[in-house]
Amino acid sequence: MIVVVCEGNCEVDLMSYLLKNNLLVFGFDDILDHRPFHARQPKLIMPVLNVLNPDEDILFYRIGDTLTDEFDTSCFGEIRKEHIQIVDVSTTPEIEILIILCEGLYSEYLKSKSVVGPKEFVKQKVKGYESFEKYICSHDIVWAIKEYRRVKKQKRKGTIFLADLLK
Amino acid sequence: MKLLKLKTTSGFRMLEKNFEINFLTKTRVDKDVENVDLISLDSEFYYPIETVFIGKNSSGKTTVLDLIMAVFEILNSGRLKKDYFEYNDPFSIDVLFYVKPYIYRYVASFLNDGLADKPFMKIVEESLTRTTYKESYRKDLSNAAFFKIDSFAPNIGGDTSIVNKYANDGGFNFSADILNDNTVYFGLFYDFLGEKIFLDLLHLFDDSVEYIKPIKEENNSFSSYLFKRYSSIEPTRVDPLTLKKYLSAGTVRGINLYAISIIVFFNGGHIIVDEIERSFNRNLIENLLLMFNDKSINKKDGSIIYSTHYSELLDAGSRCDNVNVLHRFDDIISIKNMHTDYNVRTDMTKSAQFNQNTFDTMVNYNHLIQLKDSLRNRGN
Repeated sequence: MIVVVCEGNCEVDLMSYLLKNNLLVFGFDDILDHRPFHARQPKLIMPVLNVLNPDEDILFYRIGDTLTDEFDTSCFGEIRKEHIQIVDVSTTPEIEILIILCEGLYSEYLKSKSVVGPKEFVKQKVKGYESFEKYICSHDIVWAIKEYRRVKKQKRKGTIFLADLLK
Repeated sequence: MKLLKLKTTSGFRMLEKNFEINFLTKTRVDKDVENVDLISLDSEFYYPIETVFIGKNSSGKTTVLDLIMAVFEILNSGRLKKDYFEYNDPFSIDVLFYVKPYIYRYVASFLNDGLADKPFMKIVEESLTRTTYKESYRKDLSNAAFFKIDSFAPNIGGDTSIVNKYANDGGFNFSADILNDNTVYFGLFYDFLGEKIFLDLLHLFDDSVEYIKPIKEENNSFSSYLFKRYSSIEPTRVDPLTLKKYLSAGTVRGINLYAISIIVFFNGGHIIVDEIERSFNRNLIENLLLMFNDKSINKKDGSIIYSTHYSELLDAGSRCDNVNVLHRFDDIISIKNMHTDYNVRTDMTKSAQFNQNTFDTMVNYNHLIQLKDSLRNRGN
């Protein structure tokens, strides 16, 4: 069983979009509760997770930018802990980097990244930007996810790119 | 009397054929410590005070408790009401029970003949044998040799057995669920427990009520009560139905459950409770169970047989051989014992294992998600 845990609302929106459009190597039917969870809601994961057989292998995909804190699995119980694997999917520095790539503003962003973060950069530079959720529905976000892997090249040890989960 | 083993060779409702409950202890008993959760029936012959049935919804907990109650009905009264059975439903049992110093084996078959004027099941066959307890029986009663009792006359074709003459030792075997949320037994409880204990019990559940006093009629029945709250000046005379409206459902059920438990403390026997947590907070149940395990209160070695969804209740006891897990597959209910049929981890609480679905007692994941998906997609 796969559990998708997202660091923020934008990550939840992105994963929901990718799942709805069948763009990932796994589908809604493969993930716990048929939905991505918010990382701040482990108590929402537990009642559903506890319904599964205790020796069922659980693969957590943790999607976010920082992911520096260790994912605490103790709340899922001693028996289940042994069957849990965690894979971090990095979107550093911020998930809005995908919009910057979509807009072809990556070079410009690099010049100002020490002053302004991706979220703020998008607000300043992308005309008509309303929300991450609306943006990804009307743009080629899959291309941006793949482009992110190409330009990012290096990733933190033990993490994968979102592009690695694309079909 | 203690019910040691119960097998229904015919099955019962959805219980599988030869469904068997073994009430005896299955693990070693350390004699060097005080075993508050055990009754010593004889030398090295122990019986758990609590017997627990757990399982997911519709796993058969109520059916098993009904089966036990049906057997108690026969052993208490020698008769079995047809209420438990369909027309032409055969019911065969093989029961071991203990009345010091004997272990009795009662094997019987009953039939619902469908005759409306006869409320009790017809006895098709019955036999009662017995043996004197020996230490070698403590682990495996199947090796015991039972001997005919000359004074026991089977009543084939009749509806009343004399088995109760051997089984009924004054113990009280009763199902708390029969009382439900009824106040009609309050008068009997008041009479039996005495005013002091009855009022102590009342105040435990509702400390705004000063007293409830039954008014005894000439025929010794209780058709009305005097009810007084501390806040009122005069008591009100009420019938049982009105009295029920004055008290919360939890108070009524609590008084009923505690009152019959106290009767068992005074007389011995067993009480049966389905979903013991219903209408109560956990603390009240934990304290009731604590009273059963307190030999200065439970002086006649009363036992409690209950089902629960509160896995935390299991943690209070150190044993797991008195916990039975029920499962239903394809309309067949089977039983597993937590000690003999599972690798229970001793480094974890029973509730932690229960909550991680070690005993397959949680809801079905696919059915849960199917419902949630239907709700999510409704109106789309």
